Amino acid sequence: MRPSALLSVLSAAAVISAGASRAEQTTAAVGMIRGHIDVRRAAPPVERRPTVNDLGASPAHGQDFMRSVVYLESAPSPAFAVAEPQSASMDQRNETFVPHVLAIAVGTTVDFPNSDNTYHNVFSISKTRSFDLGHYAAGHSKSVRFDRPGIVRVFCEIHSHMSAFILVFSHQYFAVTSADGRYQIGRVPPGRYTLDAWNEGEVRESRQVEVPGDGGAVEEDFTLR
Amino acid sequence: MLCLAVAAGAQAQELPSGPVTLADGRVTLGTDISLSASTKNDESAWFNYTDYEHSTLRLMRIDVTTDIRVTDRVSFLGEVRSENGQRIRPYALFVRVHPWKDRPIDIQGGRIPPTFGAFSRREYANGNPLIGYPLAYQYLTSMRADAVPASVDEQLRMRARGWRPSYSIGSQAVQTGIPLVTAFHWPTGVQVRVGSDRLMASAAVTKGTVSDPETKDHSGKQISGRVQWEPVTGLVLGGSGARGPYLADSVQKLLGQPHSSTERAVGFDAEYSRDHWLVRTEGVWNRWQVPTLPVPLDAKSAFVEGTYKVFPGMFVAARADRLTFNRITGSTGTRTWEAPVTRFEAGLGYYIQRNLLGKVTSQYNSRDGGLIRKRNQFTVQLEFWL
Repeated sequence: MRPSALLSVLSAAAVISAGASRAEQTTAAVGMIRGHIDVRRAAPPVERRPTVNDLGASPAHGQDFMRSVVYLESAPSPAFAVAEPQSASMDQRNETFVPHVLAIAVGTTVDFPNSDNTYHNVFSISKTRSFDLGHYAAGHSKSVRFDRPGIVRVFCEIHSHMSAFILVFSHQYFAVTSADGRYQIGRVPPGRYTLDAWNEGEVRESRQVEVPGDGGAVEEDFTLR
Repeated sequence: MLCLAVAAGAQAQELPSGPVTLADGRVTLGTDISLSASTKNDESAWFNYTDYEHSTLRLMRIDVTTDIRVTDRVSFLGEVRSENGQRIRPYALFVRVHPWKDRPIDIQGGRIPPTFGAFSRREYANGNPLIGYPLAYQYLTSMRADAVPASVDEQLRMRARGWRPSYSIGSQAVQTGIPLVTAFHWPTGVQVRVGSDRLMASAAVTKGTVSDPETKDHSGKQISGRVQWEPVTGLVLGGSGARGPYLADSVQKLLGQPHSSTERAVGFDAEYSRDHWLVRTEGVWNRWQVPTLPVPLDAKSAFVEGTYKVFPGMFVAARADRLTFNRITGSTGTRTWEAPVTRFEAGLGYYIQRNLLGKVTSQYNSRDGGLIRKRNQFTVQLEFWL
C-alpha cells in the first residue's frame, strides 16, 4: 500500500514535437490492459455522526466501497490533441452520492442532480477543485466543470455521512471497475507503464506493465488486502 | 522527441475523519471538540455566563457521543461532555425504541433530547454559526428554582444579578440563576415522536422545566410538545409549548399552603434556506408563577440569525437578539423585574478541513442594568469533530 501522496502524480502528458512522430502515433498498434480487482479489505462505511435528534432507525448503507479505479500513472498523449467536452453525472439519492466514485477526464462537466425529497448541499474544499453548490431541492441540478487533474473529495454539508470521490485525469487511460471488479483500459499505445489500483482514497497497489509493440491485451489482476 | 510534462499537482484532500465504528457498525462513536478564546473575561459583566459557571466565549468543550444499535428497533444513545477539563457529565443518555419498522414513531426514555425549541436541538457545536448562544438559551436571569423572593422589592434588587441571585426563602447556597430555556442540560423523562420529514410532532413528560431540567430536589413533572412542519423544501416552521412546576420540593415545603409555581413556555421558530443562504428566527415566551409575588414574571426573547457562504469553505454569519421582561411595581417604583438585554454578534467561519472549523466573531451586548451595561468583545473558536 502506498501513501496517498503518491497520487500527486496522477498523470503525465507526452509532448510529441514533430509531424513524423504524429504519424507514428496514428499508425502504431494499440493495446489493452484489463483484469480484475479483488478488494479483500474494503473501507468501512462512513456512518452518520451519532445523532440524538433523528427520528427512526439509521438508514442502510448504500455506498459501494468495492469500486476501484485503475489508471496509468503517466501516459503518452498527442501534444495538441483536443479533447471533446464531456459530461458526467453524480446523483444524490437516498442520502448517497451515486456513483460513489467517478473517474473523468479534465474538462468534463459533472451534473449533481438532487433526487431526494430533501435539500442537499454538495461541496468540496479540495485543492484540485473547490466548489459549493448551495441548497437546492429535488428535481434540480447544478453542475461543476473540472479543469485540473487530481482528486476531489465531495461532501454534502447537510448530511455528514454523504461523501464521494471524483478522480480527474489529464489522459484517457483509466477505468472504474464494474460491479464484479473487472476493468478494461483500451487504446493504450505500446510501452512500459506504471499501473495504479486505487480504492477509497489511496493507491493500494502499483505495478509495472508493458504493452507489446504489436498491441494486444495485457491481463493484470489485483488483490487489495 | 518525447518529453514528459508532469501535470499539475493532484494532491488529495485530507481524508475525512468520520465517526469511529465498532462491532460491525452497531456501535458508533463521535466526538466534538471546541476551543474558544475571547479578548475579555466574562466575569463582572456575565453576559455569556452559563449555569455551568463558564463563559461560552472562553471555553474548552469536549463531547463524546455514542450510538449503540442493539437491534434495528432498539438503540442506546449517550453523550458525555466536559467543559474546561472539569468532570465529565452525562448530557444525554437514553434508550430509543422504534416499535414499528415501517412507521415513523420513536419512544425515547432516559435523559432525552429537549422537546421544546429549535436551537437546543442543534446538538453539535458547528450547528451554531457563531460562538455565542442566543440569549433565551444561555443568559442567566435572576430567577432561581430553589429559592424565591419574599417580596417584589427583593425580586427587583436582583435585577441583572443572574450570575449570583440570592433570596430569603429557600436555598441559601451560592448559585446561578436560570435561563428561559437551557441549552446546557437535557431533561430526564419519556418522549414520543411521530411524523415524517414534512410534519413531525413530539410530546414528552420530563422532570423539572425547560429552564432547569436537572434540579435534584424536584418531583414535579413537565409536559412539553412540539410540532414541526416543512411546507416546502427549505422552509421549516416550528411551534413548541411546555408547562410544569418549576420550584424545588424543598421550597414548596417551606411555603406550606397550596400554591401555584407553574412555569409556562411557548416558542416559535422558522428556518429558510436557499442556495447559499440560511436564515433562522426563534422566539420564546416564558411565564413563571412565583408563589410569593402578586403578579407572574414574564420574559420574552427573539432572535434572527443569518448565514451566507461567500465561497467554498467560508461563511459569514450574524445574529440580532433581544431579551425583555414584564414590569412589576415595588416600593421604589415600577420596573422590569430583570434588566432587558440586547445582543448583536457577527463573524465569519472558515473550514480548514472538512471537520476542522475556525470562527472569529465580534459580540456586542447591552443591558439596562447591572454594573457593566455594555460590552464588546472579539472571540475566536476552533472546532474539530469526528
